[in-house]
Amino acid sequence: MNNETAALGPKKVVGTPVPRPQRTASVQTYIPEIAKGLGITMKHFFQNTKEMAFGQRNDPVLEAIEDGINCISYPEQKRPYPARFRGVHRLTQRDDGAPRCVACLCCSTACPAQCIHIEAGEYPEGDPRRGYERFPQRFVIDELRCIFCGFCVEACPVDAIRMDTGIHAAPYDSREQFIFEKELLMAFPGRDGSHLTANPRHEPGESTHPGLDRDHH
Amino acid sequence: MPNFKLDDREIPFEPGETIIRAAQKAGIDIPHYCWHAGLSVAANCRMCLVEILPPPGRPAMLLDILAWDADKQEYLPQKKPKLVPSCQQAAADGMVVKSQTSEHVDVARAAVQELLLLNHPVDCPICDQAGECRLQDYWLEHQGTKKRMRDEPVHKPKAVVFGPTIVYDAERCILCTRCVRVSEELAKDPVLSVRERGNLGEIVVAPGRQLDHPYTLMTEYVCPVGALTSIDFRFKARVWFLRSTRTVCTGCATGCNSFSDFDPRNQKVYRYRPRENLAVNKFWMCDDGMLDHRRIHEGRVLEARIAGAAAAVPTALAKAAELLAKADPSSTAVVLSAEHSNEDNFALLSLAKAFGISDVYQSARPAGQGDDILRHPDKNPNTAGVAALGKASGLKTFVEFVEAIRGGKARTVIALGSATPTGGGAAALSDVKNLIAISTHEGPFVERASVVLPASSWAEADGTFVNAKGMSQESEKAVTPQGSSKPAFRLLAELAALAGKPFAWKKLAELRAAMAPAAPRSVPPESASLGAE
Amino acid sequence: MMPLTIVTFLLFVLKAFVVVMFAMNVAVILTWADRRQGAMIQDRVGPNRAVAWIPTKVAQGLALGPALAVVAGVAFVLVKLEPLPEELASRAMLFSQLGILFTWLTFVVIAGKVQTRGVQSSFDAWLYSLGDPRRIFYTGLFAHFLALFVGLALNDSSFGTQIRDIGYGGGAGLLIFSVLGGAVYAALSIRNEPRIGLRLAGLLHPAADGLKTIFKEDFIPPNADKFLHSLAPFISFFPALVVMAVIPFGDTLCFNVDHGGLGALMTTVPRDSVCAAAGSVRLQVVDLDVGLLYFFALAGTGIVGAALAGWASDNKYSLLGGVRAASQMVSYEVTMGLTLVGAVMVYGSLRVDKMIEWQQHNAWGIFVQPLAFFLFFTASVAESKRIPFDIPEGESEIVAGYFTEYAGMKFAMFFFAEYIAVVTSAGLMSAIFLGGWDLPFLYRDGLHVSIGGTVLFEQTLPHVMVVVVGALGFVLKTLTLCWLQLMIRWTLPRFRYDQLMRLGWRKLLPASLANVVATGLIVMAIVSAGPEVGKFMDLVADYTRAFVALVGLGGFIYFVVFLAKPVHKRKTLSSSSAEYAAAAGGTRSARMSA
Repeated sequence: MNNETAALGPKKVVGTPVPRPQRTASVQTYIPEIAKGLGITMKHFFQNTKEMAFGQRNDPVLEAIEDGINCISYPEQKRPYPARFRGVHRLTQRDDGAPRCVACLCCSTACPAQCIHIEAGEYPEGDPRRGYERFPQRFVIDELRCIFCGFCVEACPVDAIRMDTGIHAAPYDSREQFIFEKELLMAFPGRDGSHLTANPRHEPGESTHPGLDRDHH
Repeated sequence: MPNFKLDDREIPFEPGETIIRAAQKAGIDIPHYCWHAGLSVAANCRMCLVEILPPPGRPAMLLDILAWDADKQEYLPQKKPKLVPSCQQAAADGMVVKSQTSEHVDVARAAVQELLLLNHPVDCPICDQAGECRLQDYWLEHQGTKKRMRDEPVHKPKAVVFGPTIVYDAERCILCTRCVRVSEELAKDPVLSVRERGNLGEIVVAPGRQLDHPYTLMTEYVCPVGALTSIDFRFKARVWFLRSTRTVCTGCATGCNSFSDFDPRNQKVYRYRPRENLAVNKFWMCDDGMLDHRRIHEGRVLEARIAGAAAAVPTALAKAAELLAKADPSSTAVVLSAEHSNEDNFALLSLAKAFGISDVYQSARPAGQGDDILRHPDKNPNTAGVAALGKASGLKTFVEFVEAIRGGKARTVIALGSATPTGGGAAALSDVKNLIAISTHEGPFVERASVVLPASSWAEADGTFVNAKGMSQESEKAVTPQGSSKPAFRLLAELAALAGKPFAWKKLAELRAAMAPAAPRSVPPESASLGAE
Repeated sequence: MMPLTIVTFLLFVLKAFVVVMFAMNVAVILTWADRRQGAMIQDRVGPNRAVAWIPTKVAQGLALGPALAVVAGVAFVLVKLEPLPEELASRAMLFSQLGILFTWLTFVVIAGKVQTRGVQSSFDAWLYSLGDPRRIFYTGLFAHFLALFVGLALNDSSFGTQIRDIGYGGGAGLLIFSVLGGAVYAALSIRNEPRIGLRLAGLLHPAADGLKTIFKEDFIPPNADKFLHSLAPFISFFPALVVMAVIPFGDTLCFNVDHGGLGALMTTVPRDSVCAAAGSVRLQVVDLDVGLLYFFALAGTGIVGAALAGWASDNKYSLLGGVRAASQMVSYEVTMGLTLVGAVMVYGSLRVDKMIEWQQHNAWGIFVQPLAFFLFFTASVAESKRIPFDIPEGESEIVAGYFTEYAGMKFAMFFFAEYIAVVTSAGLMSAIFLGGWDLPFLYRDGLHVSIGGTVLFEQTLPHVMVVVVGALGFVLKTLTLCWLQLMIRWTLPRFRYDQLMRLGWRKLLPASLANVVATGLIVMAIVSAGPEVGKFMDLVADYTRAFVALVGLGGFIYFVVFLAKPVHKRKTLSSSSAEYAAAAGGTRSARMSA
């Protein structure tokens, strides 16, 4: 950090004007330009083919500074996803393994692809979880419809849905297999292997709830 | 009419009206929780405080307060005008009221809002009121700050079942006592009261009682926050997904004005809300009416049947037209229905006229309980309308219809409606040789009909209903016709066309024009805004 | 024309089989290479997941078996085929050159492997200590020239005889050693692998893809014309395939005439001889006088397939694609035909084999008709509906054009037809403009390097060898032109429709007309000029041959040097995924064999 404090907000982008290419005869006839382009393509072709055949490529994940483009031969090679990669969704759990989700439908409201279907339910009277009040009886994500925008995660007020599984949407054989039900979504752990939520809120009935102030009835 | 000035706007009022009501009529909503136009004034929420300037030449009523001075870092004595609850203060001619334009009012509203949210759990995601909650709206409009209290809020019972229809959450309650006043003043059953004081206060049901009077859902309806929720609607849908149309309750002959809230994505009606009409239902509806929306989706006839077996609607129509063509007009009858709108009944009458059928009878739902608040013993929405329409054709009762069947005078019958009135008439329907039932719901007609044509319910078609007071009211279509049902007047028009005697009208507007001479003049739906409480 | 007998019929079937297999297999390879080249340019591996696993023992056998066969063959030649004294010199030269070639090749390959994989044995360590693999190649190259000059310079001297004997025995020994040694090294280096994946550089993948498309659902739109919808792929597929019939893929084989039928193959043939009609077998499926016209007639039929597919699919995108295909192909057909008029005027024949003979005696078409080559190449790319002329498919505008509504094998047939069209047009171009099976200085009786009557080098070669090398040359030229078309696809963006039409009608067509006029004038001028001009033209033709030969040789040397050049790269971690990868030890070890 410099001794001068940087201003908040996005950095200003300073652009340099790019002059229009000159329309000389060689450009307008296309042929020299086509030949030039072909030359570049061939150069890359031979260079890359050779390096690939002889195993001289960079490790594609350890990105090279100055040695040109660098691609991953998926699926033979797989790049670990970046820390904030949005993968397949998961539902976090409360301490007792119940879904953290309160079926508020904020995610399905925010979802631009309309891929989330939730049926809310309530724990019956007398159930120790009655205080959680509302929970998703069904929570279905159509991963085929999902566009992985992450709005559901942003919209979730209780940190119940996350996309930090590190699993990318896999191809399946049939459409039905893309319909992820609540049980499956809750089974996915996060990348740290945990199922728990970071939501500090505790509903009555959870062991961490401070309890009522007076006796009631 | 006398006027007063509210934020530089002249507001007319009737003598004796409060500021808040006069402003509401003029379309200005002064923020409030506890006040309701249909209830007595409690003035306990303090949200509607306004500043009233003193009359010219008179000193203002000022309070001495200590205000925090940020520059000097100490409390300094200051003068502040005394604010007045606009829900209680009667308007006076020439009065100058400042609401949005007063900084004192702004401060007061923010403070009230902060106080109300002090112990609020802010569990909006769980709460069913989210999206139509006053606390949310007013926080955005008048507060907009984070909670400053660092202590654990007071915890109170949640999800307490008050009765068969209502669940109470004490933590979300702001103790505006609207529900208490509804029980007391509307239902005349003071079953709710407040216990404890301050931040420990909560609403309780009288010991040994349940909240079970016929207007319990009005307590939920008036609740400005998520404290009271109805078991019927609870967790079924999110209000921001719902759209509303202006409908008329078809639960009884009162004809309460209502909103039908439906989800356009799955075309399902989730609830009714009362629609303000001072001439009919004022602000209210009864529980039976509020829950009547279930009948839109329950027990419905959704496909045509021929002799009890499912059939396509065109096939069934063709079969009905064939029966009609073969029938002898002298032994043929039509049965109008008080369950159906004027349009449907008029279409059936037109059919009878076209085929020279002179016997016109009437069916209806059985009578039920009534009271002198809103509930009418006649559980049909359109008894008066059918009576007016059928007058010229010599409308006869269902009892006479049963006699006609027994006498062999009704061998072919086209019947509108699903239910039969009280009495042993239903069994007689079995003696009708060719019964063509145009029904919305399962019932005695559908059970015994040779041809069943599925009619759309009131929520799926525009219609006019005449209530017991003789007021003809239009109800708007909410959802698309379910299953393969169609509005009854369309089915009848198609039937007439198939039988070779098409009606003169084709569209609903033409039908209404044709019907106008015979029917009472209809009143278009009261244009109260959809968001009104 | 030979009389039709059982033998000639069988020969016909055999030739047709060869040509069809050639076109289809190259098309398959192109389908793969087309996708793959895009990948290569972007530095990643294309689709090559299809793999046949073979046990290590079998793989070792596959490495050793051919090597042992070669060794046996060399030993057989050494022991059994005693050379005539005059043949001894050329044998010695052949063996020593081959020995040198295989030795440096083996060493370079192994050295490259060691550079990549690291040292695993003492042999590896020794090879690694030699350093840059280019040194091995340079040494090999030096050895080639040394052997050549020593052989030529010391011919007929007594010292030369000794050297010759050394070259004869030593060359063969070197050959045996390098081939066997390389195979043993390969067999040993895989001995610890549990199994070996046979990927044939990814060539199994198009086969798997083809198999897959056969089993895919064959969808026909409900309102489509079912018959025409099914017929269209065939109409598009077969014309593309059968035009190969008129393109000769090798020189005429001369047989001895035996009882009026075919006898044994002639060992050598004189340079300018014409074989007896009864004993000559043309390496060309059908022998048509109208050769080129047949090509145009059938190539034009392909339009019908595309237009029909567009019409029969009951889809507006298909229809648009079909219409576009029809108008585009009709437009470019005109240019295609007119560009070849110049070539026909020069060659004086419509028969493709006559054209090749003309080029063999004079100069390649590309030197005679350079503009025509350029125009024809452009037009034939447009004819095969490929980028930058793939308006009929135009994914960004009309989904997939005329084959939008096709699936499974029918879709694949359209796809395939496109690549077969690439192969056939490349074949035709190499026949008309690149001399077909003609290679510089290679004549029917052998190698004659001479410029304007000055003979530099002369070597008589067996007839069969000349024909086979010529055929391989034809294949190489065809493949190069195919590859060039793929390169164009990966370089240029798509034209807009009006640009395409303007290019066809307002640029290419006038240019081809001008070419016809210019060619006519020049041909007339040369014909009416004296014999001096003819001599001068012959000299120029010789220079073109020398030019082609030198370019080929230089290109080969440059290529090997390029391959052997080591690569140094700098690396840095620049993203969170790179950090994850580094923590996991990188992905270098992941299988990505090409």
